[in-house]
Amino acid sequence: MTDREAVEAQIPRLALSDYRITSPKDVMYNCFAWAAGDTERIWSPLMLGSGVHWPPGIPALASLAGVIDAYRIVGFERCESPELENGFEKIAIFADATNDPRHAARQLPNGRWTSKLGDHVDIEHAAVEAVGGQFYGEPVVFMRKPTGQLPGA
Amino acid sequence: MTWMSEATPRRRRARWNREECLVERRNPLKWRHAKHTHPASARSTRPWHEANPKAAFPRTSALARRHDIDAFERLADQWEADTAFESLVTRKAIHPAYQRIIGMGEPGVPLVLSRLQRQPAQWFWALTAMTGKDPAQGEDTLEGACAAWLRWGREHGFLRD
Repeated sequence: MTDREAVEAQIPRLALSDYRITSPKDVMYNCFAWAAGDTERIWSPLMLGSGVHWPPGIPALASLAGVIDAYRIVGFERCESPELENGFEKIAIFADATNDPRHAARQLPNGRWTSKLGDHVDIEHAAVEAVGGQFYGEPVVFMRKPTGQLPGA
Repeated sequence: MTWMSEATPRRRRARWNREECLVERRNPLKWRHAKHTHPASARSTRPWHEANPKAAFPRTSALARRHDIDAFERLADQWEADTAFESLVTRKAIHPAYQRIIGMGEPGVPLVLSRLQRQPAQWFWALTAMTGKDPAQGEDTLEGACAAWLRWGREHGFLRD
């Protein structure tokens, strides 16, 4: 099975979407790290063991509130929509039907989105909801962080 | 009376074996590092695990060990395939195959470490559950945690150099 076939088998919505694979598989980081721009560590709350990063002071429980707090620590704040805004970098947090956090994606300066799919590949996708569905749920929270670029520049 | 003098050492040997087996089952690390030696090799000064490097599964035959190794590899393959797209380690760790590997207990530790040596993955939750130790505490990268666990495994006789 090719990487593309594996990705589409797991996330069927991608088969009907505009997307491309942008990196090989890598177990050293996950989607939550990738959304924050970290490719050295796996961001995950963990109750036992080690080998992951989770901001100090955030409860080590896999809750949506905990993930939002983790991104707040690195400068993100909640916003209403996934629309491209000049001067801001946006992320989308996906949750499943039980409101458990499952995935995060980051908006690129061109308005497209980038996602790391677990231990698998990175992809670039046109629509934020293209990676949604039964496995990762849907984007339920959007956050933004100033890029340092002046609005309108 | 002859049978009594013959039976006593036999009973004593049997009792020794039963007690040591219990010690080994309850606390294998203590057994391995207390420099216990089996009566058959009482003159040896080597720790038990050094004298018995193939005894990661000490309970039965080589055939059973092979079965345990095959079972472990099947479970580990299944876990990696089923959780390849999972983002959170907490979700990976509750997979039934991962839980069954944790259930192997300390005899499974050499197999997990050997797999970790070949292929880095999130085995740290399982290793901590199986050993009660966390030599990678404070390591926040996969690479750092792998190195710490492999070093610990070599130092404690679970991995060969």
